Amino acid sequence: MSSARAVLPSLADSFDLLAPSLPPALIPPALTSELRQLTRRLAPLPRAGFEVRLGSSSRVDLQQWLTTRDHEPQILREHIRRAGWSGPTAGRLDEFLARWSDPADPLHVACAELWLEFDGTAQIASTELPPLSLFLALAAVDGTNRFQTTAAMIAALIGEGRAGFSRMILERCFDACPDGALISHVGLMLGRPKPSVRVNVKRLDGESLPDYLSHVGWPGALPVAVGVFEELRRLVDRIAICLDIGVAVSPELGFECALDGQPPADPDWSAFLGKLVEWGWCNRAKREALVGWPGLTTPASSSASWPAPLIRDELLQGADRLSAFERRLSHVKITLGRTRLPEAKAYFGYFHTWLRPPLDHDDIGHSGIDPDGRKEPSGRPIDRALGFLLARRTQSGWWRDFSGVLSDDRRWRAGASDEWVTAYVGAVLAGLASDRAQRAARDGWALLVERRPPGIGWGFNRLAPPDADSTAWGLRLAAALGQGASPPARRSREALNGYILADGGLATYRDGALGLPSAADSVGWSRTAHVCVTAAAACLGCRPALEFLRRAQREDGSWTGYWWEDAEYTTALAADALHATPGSADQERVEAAAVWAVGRIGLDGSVRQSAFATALCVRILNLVDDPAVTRDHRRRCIAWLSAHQRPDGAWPPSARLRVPGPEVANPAGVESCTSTFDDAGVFTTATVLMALASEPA
Amino acid sequence: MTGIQAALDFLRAARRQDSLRLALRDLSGDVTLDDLARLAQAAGFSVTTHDLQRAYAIDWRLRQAYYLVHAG
Repeated sequence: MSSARAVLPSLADSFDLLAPSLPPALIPPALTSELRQLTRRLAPLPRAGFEVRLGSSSRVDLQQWLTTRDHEPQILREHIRRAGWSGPTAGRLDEFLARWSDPADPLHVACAELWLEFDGTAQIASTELPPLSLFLALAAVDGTNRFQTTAAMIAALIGEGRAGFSRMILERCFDACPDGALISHVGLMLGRPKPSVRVNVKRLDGESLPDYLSHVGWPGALPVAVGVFEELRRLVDRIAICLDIGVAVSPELGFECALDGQPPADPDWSAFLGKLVEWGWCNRAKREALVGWPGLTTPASSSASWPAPLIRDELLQGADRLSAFERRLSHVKITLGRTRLPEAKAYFGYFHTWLRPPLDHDDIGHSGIDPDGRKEPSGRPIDRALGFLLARRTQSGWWRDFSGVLSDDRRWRAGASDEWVTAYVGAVLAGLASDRAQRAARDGWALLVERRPPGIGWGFNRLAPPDADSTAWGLRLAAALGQGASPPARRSREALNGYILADGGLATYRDGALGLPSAADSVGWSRTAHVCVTAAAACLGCRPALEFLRRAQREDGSWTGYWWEDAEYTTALAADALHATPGSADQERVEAAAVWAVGRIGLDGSVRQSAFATALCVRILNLVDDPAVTRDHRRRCIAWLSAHQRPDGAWPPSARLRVPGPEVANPAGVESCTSTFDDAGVFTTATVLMALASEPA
Repeated sequence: MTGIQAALDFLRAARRQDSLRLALRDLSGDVTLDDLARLAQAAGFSVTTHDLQRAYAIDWRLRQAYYLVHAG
């Protein structure tokens, strides 16, 4: 049925769809045309990356990458044959691809991805393999000698005896990795007469970096390297360092900086690139172009023909799978030692993806089978939840959540929270009898202390002004770690007093902090007592807050918050704070809250199918001094929570924040409040963990 | 029926009819729009490559509205 085609399938099939989105500030039109010529000569894999200089140079390098999935090595091998590429490099690449695609060959699992970076857009004869560098993403495989396996892969790609680098130094780079750090990629610069090697090292920190660089023999100035690393670490989530190895280690040192999110949802990209502009490392127009790149290119938005192989693949799948290309920023690399100023390059690209409706996590929980067909993991729910939370930290140690997907499908501009969420999760983990949890909580506290000047407190994220809620949770974390009397905690505690209003309740923001034109514009956020925030702060020895809570309890025993759709959150925190006081009247208030909580629990053991609200009811019931009274209700809730824990240890995100306008004093009367939830599931999971860990013996 | 409507019908039929699905599977990995148009014509749908391309964008948009916006 298939006919011969006049034009061979190539990378141009997808490049032509994306080319109209390429920002001229990053890739001038003349270069786009040259790139197109190059893509016509490359294999038809539906993805590509671009390396651009952020300074004045307009040079662009093109990247292709492939995995062992979907017969990609075979597609490239077929392309090598069809294109007639010859010569030793093409031959060795072809042999490597044959071995890589063979599941019985150790290379199959040792190399997770293969990247081809084509140097510039130089015109060469069409039967020649364009000059390129190769990068291997090394898989984290237990029980193998990573150096030996990597050396074998390098030898296969560059040929025995052609190496222009010291094997001994390369081995030292592997050996010198401290616990937790690893070589993630090796690069081979094949365009050079004697190929040198690049190694990327992930998960070094400010403490281990100088030791590592000294050990491998890096000849540059350590204080400069550490200074740049620390400066960048404050701005991004992950840094990998890049070393070039020839007969010695090159003085050039790269820092690959990545962020977890994408703009515009994640404003950290804009802030990071803004710093690079400020330091003179990045052209302002290029910054704007980069943050504007992420998005989707779809058949509905593209005027070019959609590739026929993708249409065919889509027809063979369910109608709920939609072919699309996702445009993403990958990372920025800062290199020291190459030019007078550090050189900055950005890496961005596109890849094909299938859009699908979101999975129903509850169904996964009931079946015990995740989408990959794995069986439900074993282990206590608490341990699995802890495993999830520890794994969800960024490289620096932050927890992030609430990226801001709003109920009307827009996203807020604030970006995800890291300070507030880290303080909350850290406070939960600090209360667990687990060394790993304690360590992660201590790391979180150290990050908070370092993030802002002393005595200011903390905020939603680095771009937001400090607020009473984040500050209260930071202080709760400090107290749980025994750091409540430390200088940073004492000064932040003083700052917290500044949020207390005349009625004893706390507003979330200080007057003027939001930068709104008049005080009336922020009366809801900075001049109104928020019960939820007051409840979070009350256990910090804040007597006016306790008095306020006593007055704010509703007749049914609950407390309602400003920021939360679920009254369970505010009620749990308020009951917890009053439970810690000696007065019998307060115990009666706690019991009234427990009666209210019992009434919230449905026949299935849940509170409206929400893990967040259900866990908070468990927490309230745990406060009742006679556990027998509430045992059956607690047991039903815990059974429901156990049945709905996901295979990855998390619970389905269900912590719903409502976001009234800053002028709104009473959100209960406002129907048009936007709302969002903890889309990463971190906040809900920490809340359930806190409830399960507080269960009476 | 000809044109875009016929192409839309072909796309829907290709998801449901076993014979069309088998024929689609038999197409090679470097299938072209010409190949798809010929397959449609052989199955009785009077379409051109241009019709197919236009119809595919419409079909995509409809499914996006149904599965992603409606389901979300």
